[in-house]
Amino acid sequence: MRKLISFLVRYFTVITFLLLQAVAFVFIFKAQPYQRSTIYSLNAEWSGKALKAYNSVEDYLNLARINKNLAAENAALRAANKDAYFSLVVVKSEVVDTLYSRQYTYTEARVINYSYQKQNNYITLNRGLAHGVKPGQAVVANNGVVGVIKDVSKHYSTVIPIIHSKSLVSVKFKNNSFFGPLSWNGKTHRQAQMRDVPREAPIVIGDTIVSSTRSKAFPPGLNVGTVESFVQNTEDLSYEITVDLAVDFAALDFVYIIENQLKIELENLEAKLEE
Amino acid sequence: MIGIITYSAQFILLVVFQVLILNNVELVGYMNPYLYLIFILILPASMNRILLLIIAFVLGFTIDIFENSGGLHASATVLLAFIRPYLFALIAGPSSTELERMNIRTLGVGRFMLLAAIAVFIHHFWLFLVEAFSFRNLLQVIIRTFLSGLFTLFLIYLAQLLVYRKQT
Repeated sequence: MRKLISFLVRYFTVITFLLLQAVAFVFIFKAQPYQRSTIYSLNAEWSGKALKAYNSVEDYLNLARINKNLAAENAALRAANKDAYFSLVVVKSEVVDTLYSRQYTYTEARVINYSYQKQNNYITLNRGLAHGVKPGQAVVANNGVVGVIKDVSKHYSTVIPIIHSKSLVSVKFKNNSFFGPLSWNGKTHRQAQMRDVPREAPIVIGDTIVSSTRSKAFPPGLNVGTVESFVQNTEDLSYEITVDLAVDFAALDFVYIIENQLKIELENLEAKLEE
Repeated sequence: MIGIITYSAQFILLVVFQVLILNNVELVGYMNPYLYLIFILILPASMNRILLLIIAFVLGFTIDIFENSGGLHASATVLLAFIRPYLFALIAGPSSTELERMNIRTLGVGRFMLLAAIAVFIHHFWLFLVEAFSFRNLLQVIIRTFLSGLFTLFLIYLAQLLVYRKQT
């Protein structure tokens, strides 16, 4: 009897252990996007609050570097301003026209937490539902593509950056239209991999890689990085390209969330193809 | 009662230290120390194993919430809590349950650090393995385990010295 009880006690420990492991793995795997988003929203909400308090201290310490970045960005924007160009064409008349409707809107956001040395990195931003952020919107920094919004709570949102094992962004060459999916092999936060580039593509080391129109979230032509090296797949002769990322994920401060206002229209139209 | 308050304070202190400071420390891009697991080692050896497992889950899950890592740390910490009694028996012998606390003073530097080393490497290996989720990157998992493990061990040693330094 005593043996039986001690056996049961030991068995009970193992059961508890397996149960807790199962719960942990459920959280890791979580396939259903809905539960996942509610749980992460909760997480983002109150861990976001705690991290924000810590960040306000860090903010102060980083002011010098942030100012420098902002000044550089200001300079870049001013250089891009119409006033900075000498017009070679004499414009005879200006027409206020309604032919152009706005497609992309930009919301500035602050990175309040991020990781870059894991296999699955995340970024937390201080913008959420209250600021019109929705899952699937694009996130860019002043020098290139960062990632895509994953979950949103009232005041915060989380981002899947390019350096996440499940991140997939469609990119293309700047100087021709060969494209391919960009994913990450988990090795270093400075590089990502562009796959399935056809063998006809003329690749030169140093070529600029930009976002393609195929990824509906990103405006086309946003800087992603440059070709570092490439190897040819022995089976289908396609190229796999190692891309030096333009964004340094170890030093993120300010980013912009981009909303493509025509995305739903585009998706609805394309969905009809599958009917 | 005082014991519970002390342990609760240590729990909070370790989580805060882990989330706000250690998670922002990265050397060489690979080394990220996880000092919080020391909490599982310093709980009384005679503690109920079920309670220990539950505490381990809560500890790991708290870290997960701040790291946005699902149940990764919960899994690794529960595993560590599960093998802890066997580890104690291995290191301190059959009398292990009589020792109320496992630390540098009761076990001696050598035996305590051996205990910590085995615990840290099992915890880190499981953590990085589940994070990578395949045996494809096994070498990378081992490198991460080794580098981060050394870093964690170093911090555990420092923490123990700080708390149990010889009164002179």
